[in-house]
Order: sequence, then C-alpha cells, then structure tokens
Amino acid sequence: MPPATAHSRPVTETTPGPRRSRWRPNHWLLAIGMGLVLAFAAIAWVQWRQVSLLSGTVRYEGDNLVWGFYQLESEFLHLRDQLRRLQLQPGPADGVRQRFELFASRLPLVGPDRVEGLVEFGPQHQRTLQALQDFIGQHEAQLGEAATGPLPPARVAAALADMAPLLAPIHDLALIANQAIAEQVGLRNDAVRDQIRLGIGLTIFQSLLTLAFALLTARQFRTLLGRRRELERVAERLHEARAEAEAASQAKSAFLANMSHELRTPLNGMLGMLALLETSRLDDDQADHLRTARQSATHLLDLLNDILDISKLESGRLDIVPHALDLPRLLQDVRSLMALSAASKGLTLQLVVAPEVPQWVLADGMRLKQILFNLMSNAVKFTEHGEVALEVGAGQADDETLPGDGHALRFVVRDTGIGMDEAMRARLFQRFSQGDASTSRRYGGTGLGLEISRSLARLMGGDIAVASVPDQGSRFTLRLRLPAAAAGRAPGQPAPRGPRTGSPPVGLDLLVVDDHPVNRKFMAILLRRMGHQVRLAADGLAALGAVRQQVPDLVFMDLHMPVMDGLQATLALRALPAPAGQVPIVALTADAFADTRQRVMAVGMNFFLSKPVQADDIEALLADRFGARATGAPPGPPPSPAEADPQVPTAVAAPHQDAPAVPLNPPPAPASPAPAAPGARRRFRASDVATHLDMGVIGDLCVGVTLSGYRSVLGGFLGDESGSQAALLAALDSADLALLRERAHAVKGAAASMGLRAIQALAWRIEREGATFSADDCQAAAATLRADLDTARGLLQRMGFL
Amino acid sequence: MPSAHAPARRLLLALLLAATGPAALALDAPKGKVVLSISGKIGPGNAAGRADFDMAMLEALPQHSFATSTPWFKVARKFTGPLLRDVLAAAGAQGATLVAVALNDYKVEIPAEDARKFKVVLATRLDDKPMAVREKGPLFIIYPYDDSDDLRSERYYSRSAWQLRKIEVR
Repeated sequence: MPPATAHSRPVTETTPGPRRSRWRPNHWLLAIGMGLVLAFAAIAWVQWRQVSLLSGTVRYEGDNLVWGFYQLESEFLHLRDQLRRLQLQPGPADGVRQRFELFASRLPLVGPDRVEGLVEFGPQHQRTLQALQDFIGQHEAQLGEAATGPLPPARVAAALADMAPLLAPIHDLALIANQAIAEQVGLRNDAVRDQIRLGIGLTIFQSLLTLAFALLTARQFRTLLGRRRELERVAERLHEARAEAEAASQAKSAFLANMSHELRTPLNGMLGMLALLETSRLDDDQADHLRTARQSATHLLDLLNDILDISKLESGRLDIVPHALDLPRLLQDVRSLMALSAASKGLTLQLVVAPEVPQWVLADGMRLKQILFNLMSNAVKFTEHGEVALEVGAGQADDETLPGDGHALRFVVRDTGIGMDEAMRARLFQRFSQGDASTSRRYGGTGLGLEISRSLARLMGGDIAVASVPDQGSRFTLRLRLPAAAAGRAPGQPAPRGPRTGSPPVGLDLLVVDDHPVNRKFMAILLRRMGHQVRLAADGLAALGAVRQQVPDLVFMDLHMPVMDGLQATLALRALPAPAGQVPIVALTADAFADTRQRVMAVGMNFFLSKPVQADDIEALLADRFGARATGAPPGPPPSPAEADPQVPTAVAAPHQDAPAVPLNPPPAPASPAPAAPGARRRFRASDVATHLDMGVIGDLCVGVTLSGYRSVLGGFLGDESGSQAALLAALDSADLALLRERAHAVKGAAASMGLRAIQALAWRIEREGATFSADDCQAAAATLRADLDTARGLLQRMGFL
Repeated sequence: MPSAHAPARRLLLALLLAATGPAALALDAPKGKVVLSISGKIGPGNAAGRADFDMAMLEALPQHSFATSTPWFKVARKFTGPLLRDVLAAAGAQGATLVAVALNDYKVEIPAEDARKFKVVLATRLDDKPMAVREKGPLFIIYPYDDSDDLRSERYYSRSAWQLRKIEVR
C-alpha cells in the first residue's frame, strides 16, 4: 500500500500537477483485477481437472479390472471343481456346462480392449489370454452350452489336464492387475493432492489480491469522501460569501433608500419653515436669500426623491401598480403642471391627443405621470424659445418590442431646444450624466431623471427612445402598451358606491383606527385636506363595526390599541365576506422594524406606513391605489381649524367616549392646565429647541395640515385630551411598573407625531425600561416628564404655535 | 438402509401392486425352462414359496427397449425386456429391498424404490437377440444410464446384475 500521506494528497491536488501519482491507483487496481481474473481462471481449471479425473475413474472402474481378474480366476476354479466332482461322481453335465459358459463370459472382460490404457501387462497377458481362448475353443464342442448328451469321462480328464498349467498365469494376472491399479490409484491420489495444494495456493493468492483490492478501494473511497467534503466546504464558503455579498448590497440599497426617506423628513420641515419665513416681513436681501435657500432645498428634495426611486429600482422594491385611469385627464394634469414654467420662459406648450387614444387605460398613473413630467421638464429646461409639445398617438399595433395585450401607445415629447449631438445622446440615459459638464452647470438638475424614466418605462414593458439634432431640438418617444380599462374602475377594485359616483367627486371613504385622539385628529385633518371623507374608530372592535356598517375604500390601522389591536382587527376583518373582507388596510406603527412589517403583511394588511406619517407618503399610496380618485377630491377651501376638526360624527359607536369628542375649539387650547403666562417670560437656552422639538416633523406637519391644523392637534395633546399623560404620570407616581409600558407607548406615539422630541425620547425610554424601574427611577421620570412638557409648551408658545 | 423409510416404501409398493391387481393373483406355472425365480415377500407364486418365470412369461409382459451406453460394451447397445417393476408386480412382491442373485452367485442389493423411480429393464434381448450366458444373459438388469448423470455412477453400475437368476424380496 502507498504510504499514509496518500489520502491527503488528492485534497491538495486541485492544481494540474502530479499526473503520475494520480493514475497510479488506477494502475494498481487494473493489475489486481487482472491478477484476480487469472487466479479465478486457474482455480476453475484445477477444479475442472479434478472433476474430469473423478469422471475418468468412474468410467474405467465401472467394472473394476481387478475384480474382473478375480472373477476370472474364481470362475476358473469353479469350473475345475465342477469337472473334478463330475469325474468322481459321473452324472448330468448341465452344471459343468453352465460353469463353462460363465467362465467363457468372463474372458472378454479382461480382454486387451478392456485392459488397454489401464495396465501395461506386456506379452504375458497376451499369451495367457490366448491360452485361455485356446482352452475354450478346444473344449467348446463338448463343454459348451450348445452341446448335449453325456460328457465322456475322458473329455473331463482332458479338460482338467488342460486347465492345470493355466491356474498360475491367471493368478499372476490378477496380482499384476491389482498392483498396477494400486499404483494408478496412488498416482491419481498424488495428482489430486497436488492439484488441491495448487488450489489452496491459488486461493491464498486470490485472497491476498482481494484484500489488496479491498484496501485500495477503501483508500479510493476515503479519498473521494475527503474530496467531496472539501468541495462541500468550498461550496459552503462560496454560498456564505455570496449571501454576505448579497446581504451587503441589500443593506446598502436599503440604507440608501432609508436615508433618502429619512432625509426627506427634515427637508420637508425645512421647506415648511422657509415657507413660514416667507410670510414674515423681510427686507429685499433677506427675501432673496430666502428664495435661494428654498430653491436649494427644493432641488435637494428632487434629488432625494430621485435617489429614493433609483435605490428602490435597484433593490427591486419599486412596484408598478396598474389601475384604471383617465388618460386624457392625466395628460391634462401634466400639461397644467408644466404650464407655469413654460409660460415663464415664453414657450408655447402644446398637448395633442389623437382621437384613437382610449380614454380609460390600465396603468400606474403616478409612474406614468412621473415619466412624462420628467420628459416635459427636460424639454422646457433645455428650450429657450419655440415650443414644447406632448403628442400622444397610437403606435404600431403589432409592435413586437411591446409584449402583452392592449393599445400600443406613443407619447412623444418634442421641443425646439438646444438638442444633442451623437456623443451626448449616447451618455443620455447614464446616471448623473447630463448633456455635458457645461449644460450641467447651466441648467442644474439631478441627472437621474432620464435613467429613472427609462427604468420605469421598462418596468411597464415599454421603452424610451430619443432623436435629436443639435440646435434644432429633441424628440423623446415613450412607447407603452396599455390595456383598456372599464370606465372609472379597475378590475379587482371596489366599485364606487352610489352616492359618491355623483358628478362632484367627494373623495375616498377612509377609516382611521387609532386609540390616541391626537393621532386620530392629525390623520383626520390630513386626509380631509386631501379632500377625502374620514371616519374614525378608537380600537379594532369599533373599526369592525364601522366596516360592517359601510365598507370604506381604505382603512388606516394603528397596531397598538386597547380592546382589540390592529393585528387582531385585521384578522377579524379578513374573515368577513367580500367586499368587507377585502378592504385594503394600511398599517400605521412607530416600529420601523422589518419583522413588524412582515408581521402585518402576514395577517393580511396591504401596506405599511411608519409613524410619524408623511403626507406625501399617504398621497402616493392613495394615488397608487386609487389613481385619479385619490386626487379627485374637492380641492376645498384652505381648511380652517374648525373645518379641519374631525367633528364629523363618526359612524362608530366607539367604546371610548373620547373618540368623537375631540374638542373643536380653535388653537388656543381649552383651559390648559399649564400656565400660559410663565412661558412668555421664561428663558431658553440655545439648544433647547433642538433638544425638545423636532422642527423637521413640525414643519412637515405644517405642510401637511397647515399651521392651524397643527395648532389644533398640538393643543389637544398639550391639553392632554386623551388623558394619556396624566395616566402615565399617575403610573409613575404610584410606581405601577406593570402599566408603564403601555401608557408610555401611547404618549410616545403622540409626542412623535407632534414633533416633541424630548417627550418622545423619554416616553420611549420608559416604554423600554419601565419594567425595571425603581421607585426613584419612577419619581425622576415623572419629574422629567413634567419638566419636558413645560419646556415644550413654553417653547411652542414662544414660537407662536400656541 | 434407513429403516424409518421402509414402511412407507412398502406401502407405496403395495399401492402400486394393488393397481395392477389380478395379474399378481393368477400367475401361471412356467412351461419352459425357469430363467428367473422370485422369492421372499411375494404373492401366492406358482411354486413352493417362489414365483418362477420362463422366458415366454417374461416376454409376455409389456416390452420396453432402449439403447444406452454401459461400462461393459464399447458402444451403446439396445436392450429389450419387461420393466423390473412389472415383473415384481407379476410376482406380487411387497418388499423394500431386492437381492439380485446371478448364475455365478454374485449378489447385490437393490432398493425396491429403484424399480419405481427408474425405468429399470429386465433385459432379455441385446440388440433384439436373446443373450447367451456367455453374453451376460439370459437376463440383465439395465438402468437407463443415458437418462441421467446420477445413474452413471459406480452405485448403479454395481446394481446392474447380469446373468440374473434369482430375486429375493426382503
């Protein structure tokens, strides 16, 4: 056997190297196999020889030759006795004659043809046989069976006389035969012994070969096993590496998406603050600075939106949600969005819709609008004079590059702008590339728009093509295949109910389920401003009743609620028969964890929004889901605080009487327990605003629900309409640890919605760690909470929110 | 001889004989020279405790013939005669063992089963001619050696008695 190092060799033998050593085991196997075959053949030959030896013995010993000679002698003696008896007592010759015949019949059995090849007798045998033959021939006439009549005594005497000299030779023959046969038996036994020895030797040899074969096989097997294990290890490592790489890439995309999303929040706040600032009295310089700041912020927001789209596209999280939409209306929207900027540059804006273009199609309105808006913005941006046109017509119906069914449509955005040369066009759809560096400086923009547009077009199964001549203009063609849809309604969507199909659209029927009155109020203001009808419910059970009474278009569902939480409510709703069981449900939660998202999807919720809720997220969601209807609300008058109030009686008999009883009073909160006066005189540190307030969220809220709306909900919160602060303080004062978690959670959600950063953080800490609080901890937390509430109130008063 | 098997064999033979029935009871007396005497456990017989057969009686039984090679002749020879089992049945034999005795007092034991298992012929003719004593006649027990390898062995060759004169049924 090869040395013990052998089995480690194949592992290291992954590189093309020692070929010799690789085929050596095969060589050995081959040699052993051939040896085995030869050994088997030899054994078979030996055994065949033994069998034939035995068969030969049987054949030749059939009537043992020695026995034959013995019988011959015996019969000879019998005959002699009979003759002698007859000589003494003459009588019938029958007995003698039969003996003669018997003796004669024995003679051929020892004849030359029988003996031949068995025993070498030599001439004596011949002579003796001849003498016996002569004897028989001589006396045949008288002694033979054929003879009849009495036998003369003279004949008997003659026969006896003839027999006398024959006895000794016959006896000799028997002896010689016996010796010869014994000799032969000895020889045969020797041969058999030799062959058996040979057989034993061969068997030993064969056993050794088999052993070697088994050892080699075992070694090969071990080698193979080792190699397989190694391969498995390598595969596992590769798998892990791939998973890690994928996870890293995913994490980056997710991070990018999250960051873009997170960045938008403070930016929105900033925009809101800037907008507020514009309303104040400013000198010209300040106004100019402010305008520049707003432009920068707006650009930044565009950039963030684009990055968000890109990262969503890259991580595959951007879904196209087709719904029925009114195409001419969508085109009009795009046109009116562009009208101002075109007019400000003195450009003619044209919209031409060919008559064969269907009115209702199935498409993702938001994304289609995004593409067209991007193309149109570019056209306006790069055109100094002349016109920008959007022409929509039917494309080639049998266009093979557009798979699927439906109308092949062509959206052409044409301008008379600076155009592009070949090189520019080649770079056009690449990320962050604009025409060239100079255009970038001159025209601004993110450089992501066209890439997003093309990606979106391709996601919809279409594409964007471009043709351009420098200084004459460009022509972007979006080709899409859009299926026709039944008017006003996409398949699988709830049919609009009777009263709301009337000509003045009344928006969507939305149900908001939240246990915290401030959150309910906030959502109600936000949604009503968008022109929708809002019903409110304070917990899952109430929501169930509201849905049973009338199925809303959509339900916003908080997760943490008393009586019946959002998950249970969703399960109960899904158990209802259609259409109530199929009502779309949006989860609202302050938990941004991935597993929360999975959990809400698992129970059958359709969407997920994390608190604090962003107005644009809701708008996007509603537009995605309901298309034109989401924006088909009456663009009502700027909401006054009174109107913004969710006074509209809810159809729900909420178990908590506080739900519909949200006070409707104008901003100055009702008999707030907090003394308003000290706030005015109070001193604040420079860092207090940043510590206590989240101006981003507050700005966002002002943008979303207007300043008066914010004032209203803020008043509600600081007035502790829900009693949640009092409840939390009571729990802290009595150190009732069991209640802390739930009560702190309620305060945390509301504070987060209001942008009250310090209170939110404190409530979050109590929620997280309250179960382990000591009595001192409770006292300290209560004191901090009271102080934070005072500070926040004071700050907000000073800033004019209260 | 495994004695445990003996009763079973006897029973079988009895059944066999019962099937051939009346023939055993009415055995005629031999008219010519007696060539075969069966004694021992036999039927009524036709002599004192014996069933004697002359050549005519043997040739009156159903004849069978086949050619087979034997150790005693260089080539295959044709043997003709009644089946041993028919002869035994004619004598009403009911034993488990047959002792065949030749003219020269050669004796050999033959299990009665052999007569039933094999088509053992009591040959009266060799190549269609009667056999003289010198030609191992007049009666020769012949097994169908060419039918099976097992039969071509010393055991059966030794049971193949020639110059047969008597059968003793035990």
